[in-house]
Amino acid sequence: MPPSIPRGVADYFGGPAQRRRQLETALRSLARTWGYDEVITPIFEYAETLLTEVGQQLAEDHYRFFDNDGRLLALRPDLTVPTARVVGSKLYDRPLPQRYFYAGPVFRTEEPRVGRQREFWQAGVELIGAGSPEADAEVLALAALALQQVGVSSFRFSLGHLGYFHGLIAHLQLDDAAAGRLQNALDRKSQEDVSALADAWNLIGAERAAVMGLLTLFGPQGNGVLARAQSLALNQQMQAAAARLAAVESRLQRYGVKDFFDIDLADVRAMDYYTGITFKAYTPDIGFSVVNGGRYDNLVGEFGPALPAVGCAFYLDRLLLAQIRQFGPPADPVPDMLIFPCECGQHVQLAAAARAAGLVAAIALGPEDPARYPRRVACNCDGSVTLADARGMRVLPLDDWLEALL
Amino acid sequence: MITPPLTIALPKGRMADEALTWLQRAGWSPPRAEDGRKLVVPSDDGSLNYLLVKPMDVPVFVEQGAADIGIAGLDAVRERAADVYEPLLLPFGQCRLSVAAPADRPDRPLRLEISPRVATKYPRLAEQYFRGRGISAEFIYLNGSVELGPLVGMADLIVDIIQTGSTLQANNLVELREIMPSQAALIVNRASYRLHADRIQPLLRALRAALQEA
Repeated sequence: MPPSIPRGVADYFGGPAQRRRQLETALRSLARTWGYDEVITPIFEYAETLLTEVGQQLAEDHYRFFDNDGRLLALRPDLTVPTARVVGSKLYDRPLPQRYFYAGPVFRTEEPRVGRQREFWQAGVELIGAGSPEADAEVLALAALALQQVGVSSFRFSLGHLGYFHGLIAHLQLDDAAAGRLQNALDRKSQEDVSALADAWNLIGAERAAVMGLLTLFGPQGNGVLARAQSLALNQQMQAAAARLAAVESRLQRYGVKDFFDIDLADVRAMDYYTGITFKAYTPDIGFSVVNGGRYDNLVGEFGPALPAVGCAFYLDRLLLAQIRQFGPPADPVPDMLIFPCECGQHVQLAAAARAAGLVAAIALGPEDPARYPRRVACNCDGSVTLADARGMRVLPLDDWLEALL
Repeated sequence: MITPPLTIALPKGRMADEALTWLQRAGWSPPRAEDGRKLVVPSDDGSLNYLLVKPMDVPVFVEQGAADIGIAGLDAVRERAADVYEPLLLPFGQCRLSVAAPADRPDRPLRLEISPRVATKYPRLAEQYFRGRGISAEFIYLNGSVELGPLVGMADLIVDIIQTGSTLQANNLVELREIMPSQAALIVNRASYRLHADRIQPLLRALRAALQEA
């Protein structure tokens, strides 16, 4: 058999595999303490389910294939749409708000690059049935706390609101193609391209100021970005977006995480299903975001009753890569002790006792290099145990040897 | 905590000199005069680190975050499909990416070509151009001296950068179509733009001011 594997997938083992599970476990535990319960959805679904009208943009990079009955299936490209499907079609009449956590692999046929494989792992939270700024702030605060807890260095969040851009498009009555050009220029933060569009559309006065000003609506909170956004706003939708961000900002302060956030109203690249705030988190040594999220008030309604929702996804592979670049590769796990088999057979009980005490114990099977193990244990078959570790070799009573280690 | 220097990737060759002229005019600390073959050169005041890399690789260094800032031709940014910010265009490195053919090529539209062989340093942009017009070209990837392709009968067309057109003329080639205009651009890594906003924004403002003054 050829040893090759398809493009865009990877094997994990040793330290990195363990670290990735630890990341996932840490996020799950944190989410649980905030009341987020796990939802587990299938790896593949009907292609049309994942192609909700609001999520068309994902279509091109879906992995699609046929079921035996000829129905078109697709591997899930994210976990937000499947979660919305579960809530919209099954859980809509449960008490609101509902809080969900998920973790698992997702698939996109992107050209693989560093930190961007075709199969990658996401963990995330979705808060469904609450449309308030408090709900936005809860998810943002949870995301910031999670990054602090998993130990990613000096991360920053960029926080925007798609309503501001959508309001601008509506006011200027731009068609899809024109809006796409503006979105592309803003996404590259190309001042020249934005100004070329403003020229092409003969924008003057307040309209020109609003378009050109978008790129300057960037920076740490409290430096007047949102006040400027208000003064540049051309209609109620833009004003509402700026006001919403101000409301979220004041709530982030209460959580004590406000300093992690920068406003960026020109950050207009996001999943099509987002309708309100959007955010991304960045950390040094990784050139791209490690968390993406936002508010999507129209997605659950695709599958059932309309419910407002906000959530975010952590890119576990990228978080792992960030940790490796910031702190070095995690060491491969080694058992705490090697236990040699003995005549009387007590070694099995020794191992069981050590495992019950939370230690990792392996029974020697022959090929081991004892030097790899921090502790070596042998039963002497006379009621005593010989223990060798960094402190030297000791003979301990059989019923007491474990205490010496704990 | 000591702040690590910001890293600037510059394209090796003639664009580097013009880039440095502009950066110094904007008050960026210039690279220390050192051994010219060094690839990483700290600035005079230690606040910046300059990387000298192949022009085509600048966007990759910046996208990956190995450099926070870069100066690259738009042709290179598009060819490498680099996911970076492009806050500033710079007034040098003007050229265009074009399709060219031997001067004695029969006068017929490109769209009638069945399967032309195209020599290029720009496989992505070339393929995008021909495929977008429904022409199933075959691409021959070369690292330089692309003009040689038609001369030795290896290619029917070339896709390459044209500045003055003198190289084309010297090799008896003519420009058929412009694919895209290009010039130097200042590019910034998406994460650095946020993580180091306090240092990058002033640099951008100073450079923008210097450009407007000129």
